[in-house]
Amino acid sequence: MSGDPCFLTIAEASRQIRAGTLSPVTLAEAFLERIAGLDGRLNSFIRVLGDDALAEARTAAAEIAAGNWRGPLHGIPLGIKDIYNTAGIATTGHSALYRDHVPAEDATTIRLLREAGAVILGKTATWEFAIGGVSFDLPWPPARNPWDTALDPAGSSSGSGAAVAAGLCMGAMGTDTGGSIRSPAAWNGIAGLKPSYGLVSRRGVLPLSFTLDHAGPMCWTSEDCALMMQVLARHDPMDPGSADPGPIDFTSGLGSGIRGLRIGVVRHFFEADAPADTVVTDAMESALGIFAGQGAIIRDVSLAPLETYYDLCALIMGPEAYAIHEQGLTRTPELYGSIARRRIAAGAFVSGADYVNALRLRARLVAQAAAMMQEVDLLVMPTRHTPPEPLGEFDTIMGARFYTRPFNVLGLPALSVCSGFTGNGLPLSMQIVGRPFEDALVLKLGDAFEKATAFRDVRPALGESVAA
Amino acid sequence: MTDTTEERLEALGLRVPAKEMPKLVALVGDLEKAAASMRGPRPYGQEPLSGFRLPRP
Repeated sequence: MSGDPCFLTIAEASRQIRAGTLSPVTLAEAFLERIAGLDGRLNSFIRVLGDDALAEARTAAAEIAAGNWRGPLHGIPLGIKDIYNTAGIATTGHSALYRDHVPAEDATTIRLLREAGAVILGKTATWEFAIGGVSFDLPWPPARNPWDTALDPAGSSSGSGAAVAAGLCMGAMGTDTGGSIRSPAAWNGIAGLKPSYGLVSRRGVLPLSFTLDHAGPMCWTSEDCALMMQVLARHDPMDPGSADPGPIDFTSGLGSGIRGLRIGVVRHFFEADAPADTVVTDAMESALGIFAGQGAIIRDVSLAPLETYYDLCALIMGPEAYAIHEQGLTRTPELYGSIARRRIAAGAFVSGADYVNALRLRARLVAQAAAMMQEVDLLVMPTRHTPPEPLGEFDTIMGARFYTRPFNVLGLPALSVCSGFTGNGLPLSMQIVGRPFEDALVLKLGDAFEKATAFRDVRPALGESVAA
Repeated sequence: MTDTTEERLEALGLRVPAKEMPKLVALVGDLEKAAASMRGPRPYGQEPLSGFRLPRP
């Protein structure tokens, strides 16, 4: 596997492309060949855009050869979760309901990626409309985990996570309403950033929950997420939730050291509220040791109980999702899979008063978290309480099972990185959380951790040798 | 006000296969428990921010 261009990071490939030692066409061909050879076992793509991708790669190669290098994503092959609208290309939400939905326009983020010269390899599998869970009654099968295909890659950006980890694309777009970027990042052993609320446009993304939805990148490394964020973070007046915090430099701070950073450990989440497996907490303690060894200041901090965030998230997501899907559910319920149908229908039972009460409490929790984060620069905790579990249905709407949802409620930037491996080689995870619009600092800590460890040197075997 | 989940579904115009009802009923029960924990009077200062904002002159 060593030397395979499919296992370069975006940063490495970009340097080679710019130097003229790697052709975007060669790169696209290598990825398409790898998808053809391996994705029958992973189901990470539901639509591969082979001809289009090769045409985009040829265009990129010609532009770069003519001296018109657009930036670090020029010629880089990406996967796109199939809830992002792509002009002239079916965007299904992995649902029979949208099987023939062909948008006329790209989502804002897809337009930005195209303008940056990225090559779009295809559309990746998702839970149905980003809520349906692992379903076997949809037009396409669920994605599988490349570290062990009997295991769940987590969702809802399941195909994006599996594809990045397996070397079927260099980066991918995911969306995150309760953890749908960070959970598959965790269980596929990659980096995934849920940006600050408002930092990345959702226009042209099939919505699930207006006030909880986030769009963001999933890559092998935090550095690669930073390169994608440099393109994706733009104010979009067509997304009412879009913020305009001004220009943000996501990359120049990488590698500059973490001495003096104040890191808060939300220990009650993973020791009391929803205890994590010992192998997860051991990896967490090792990470804290690395941070302390590099001069960071570590202390324990508290947020509201995890269960409170879970209740709140469900009471907000439920009616917002039902409002979006009411027509589809009442007119053509048979076109939904059973899990999505049930989960979305439940939102009809939340009263207007209860929804408003949840928003009231949300405002209090946002203020509490802002006050607490005056005392620390970043928060850390595991992302998932276990390594990947067997592929199968579980209900993620209720029950405090893992640690992602608080940061959808709070709108804070949150990154999942690989924190190590179990004894049998399954990935573990750590989550890094920052203040609003301090996504660059979040990525800086993730990058520092990845570069201080060897966890980025190991890829899923998939029947091959495991040295990347 | 209707009582059972089935009756409320019918009133909403929703059709859910019978085999899916037990899990839906359980989910609705969980949502009700979550909602009950948040009910109660709160001061005006804790109202959610309005999306309605007039531009400055």
